[in-house]
Amino acid sequence: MIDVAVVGCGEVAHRYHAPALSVLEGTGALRVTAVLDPSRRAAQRFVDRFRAARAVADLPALLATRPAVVIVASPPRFHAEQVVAALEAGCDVLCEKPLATSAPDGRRMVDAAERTGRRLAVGMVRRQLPATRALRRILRAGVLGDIRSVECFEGGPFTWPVASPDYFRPDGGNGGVLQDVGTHCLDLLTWWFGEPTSTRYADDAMGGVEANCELALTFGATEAHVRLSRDWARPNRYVVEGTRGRAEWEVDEARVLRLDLDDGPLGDLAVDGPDRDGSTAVTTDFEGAFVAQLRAVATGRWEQLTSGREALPVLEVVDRCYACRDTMPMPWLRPGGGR
Amino acid sequence: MTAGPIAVIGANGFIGNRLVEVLHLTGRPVVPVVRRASALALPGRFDLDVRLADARDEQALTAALAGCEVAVTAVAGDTDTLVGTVEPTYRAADRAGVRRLVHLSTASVHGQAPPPGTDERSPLSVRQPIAYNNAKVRAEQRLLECRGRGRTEVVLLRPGIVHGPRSQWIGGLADAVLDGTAVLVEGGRGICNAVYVDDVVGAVVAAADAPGADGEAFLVGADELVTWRDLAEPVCRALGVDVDDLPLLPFGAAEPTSRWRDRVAALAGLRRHLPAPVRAGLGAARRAARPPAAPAAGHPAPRVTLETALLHTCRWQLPSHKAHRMLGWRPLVPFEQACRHSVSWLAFAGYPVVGER
Repeated sequence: MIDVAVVGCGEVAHRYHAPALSVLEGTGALRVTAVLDPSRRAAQRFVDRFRAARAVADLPALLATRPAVVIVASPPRFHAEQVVAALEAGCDVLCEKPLATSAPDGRRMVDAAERTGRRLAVGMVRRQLPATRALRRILRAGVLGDIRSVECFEGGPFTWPVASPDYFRPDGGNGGVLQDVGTHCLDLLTWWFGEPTSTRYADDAMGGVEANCELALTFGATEAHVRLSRDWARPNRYVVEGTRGRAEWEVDEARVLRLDLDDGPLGDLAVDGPDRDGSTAVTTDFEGAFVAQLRAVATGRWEQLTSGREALPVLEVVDRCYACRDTMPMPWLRPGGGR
Repeated sequence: MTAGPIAVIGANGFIGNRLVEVLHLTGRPVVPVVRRASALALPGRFDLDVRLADARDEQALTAALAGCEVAVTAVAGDTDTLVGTVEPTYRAADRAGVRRLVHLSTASVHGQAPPPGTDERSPLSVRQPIAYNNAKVRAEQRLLECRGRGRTEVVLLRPGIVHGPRSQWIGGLADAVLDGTAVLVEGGRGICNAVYVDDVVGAVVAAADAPGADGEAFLVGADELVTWRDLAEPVCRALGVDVDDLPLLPFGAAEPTSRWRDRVAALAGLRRHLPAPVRAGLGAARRAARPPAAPAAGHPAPRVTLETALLHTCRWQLPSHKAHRMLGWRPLVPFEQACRHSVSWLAFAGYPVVGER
């Protein structure tokens, strides 16, 4: 059994990590021993749920309890400082996405992990879904032929119960929809296709943070178009078109892919069971992906998770996007018309 | 002209968001007010002084309105919210020293198919078949009662069908066209009483300052006569669909819910106020209040609510003469230009607009 401490007991920790921790604590694989959050109420929810847990006042106090693993689920602008401190205290770290709010911070965290010999993983839970893993295998096996295009739409009206308006402050470090949802999307694309060779980016921020953005990425000969929104819903779907067929994945659909090959549509394909090497626990839903992720941590199979180093290319893409951002065309925006 | 900040209560909704955009982009100080932080995604695109307050929470709203000269209520929600937020909002505005409260009501206080001759002087009923209408009528009444007990002035605006980017009449219609559920009742020949969202914003700005408008209600609509088919046509065309291919349903096809007979009975009581096609449809509905045939597998059935049926059979263009005269407001965006903006937004939002991307 390993001791786990949680830094940041806000909504993502409450909604996803806590149930997963409960499942694994129930199996005797781990126990939650310390939690830290500036909100006493948020911390208390964990104390009430986990018998061995106690709330502590600050990060040094948390690290003094000598947990084996620290889960960092605080706002992203705190990740770098907290993760480096935890690594230097001898802990392994599972950090919520995004790993950091900039690539230099991310590199500093990865360097700290390598310097201390500790393990650092990022909670890219979608990689735990059988459907995304199956699509990766399909792409690698060339089942769809040469990939011509990728279309991704993700988002809808923003409903995540953020604690404060600061979440949307341009200086708050959270970024907008690109840094938030885009981190998941870009992680899958780089996992499936490698690092993009070029990036074009536009969003609708006008002094604040973007609610909508659009990316054009190239992965070798493959063009990917990504549209993300906190504004208006369209079907949340990834479509991969190849010379021999196409695949569709509905966002966060754990087990189903739609696969249409030129020699006949297969339709909805239920993806069931572990990878061929049996390395992945079967996950039937998004919440289950958190359990799978924590099970890997508890059993020391960190290679099943996204390492800090693997997360760096996405941070670099996000940095490049924000550095070269253009404004999306919005002809209706200016009263009387114009851009 | 109002120099102090204008608070927009309900800044995350369709009209509230557009108010924030226009006021900010034209250099007017604007304070978005929303109920919870998660509603700040759109106002958050700008670097603004945003405030959190539930419109039912007088104390929080009083603090949120501090320093604002004008407040605009663009609160959306269920019927309880529409009515229940009025008094706390007025009292908060009064306590905060807001000079004028501009309240976004709706032309639907006169019904979805108002009888010819209807204008602001027409009596309002709280026994209409659409609960939303009754709630908006009650909200207006409560606000005017509040006005009698406070110093903050109130102006009521009654826009018709407000269309434009992010409108359900545009985006919702596009969704319905794409999933095969869009319909036109009676050929969509009914009068839409359309008004482009920027013209509603213009009316709000005018209402914030106009002398002699305190305690008055104003219908706000376009000068042009727009039918429901006219509104649907550019959306259909943008999506590569011929508007004439939309299913055309009779009024009597409207929503055979369990309350259908009650609603038909309620309508029968209002029969003499209804336009002729509605009266004809009502007869058919009473004879055949039954569910439609099951749709073909895999295709959702076109659905017509009573509200839609009434809207699509409206035969009266509500006049905006009073707003022209007393607010000095006129609609400025021609329907064709408004539709171009809406189609641009459909492409922006990710709809498969023909000829875009």
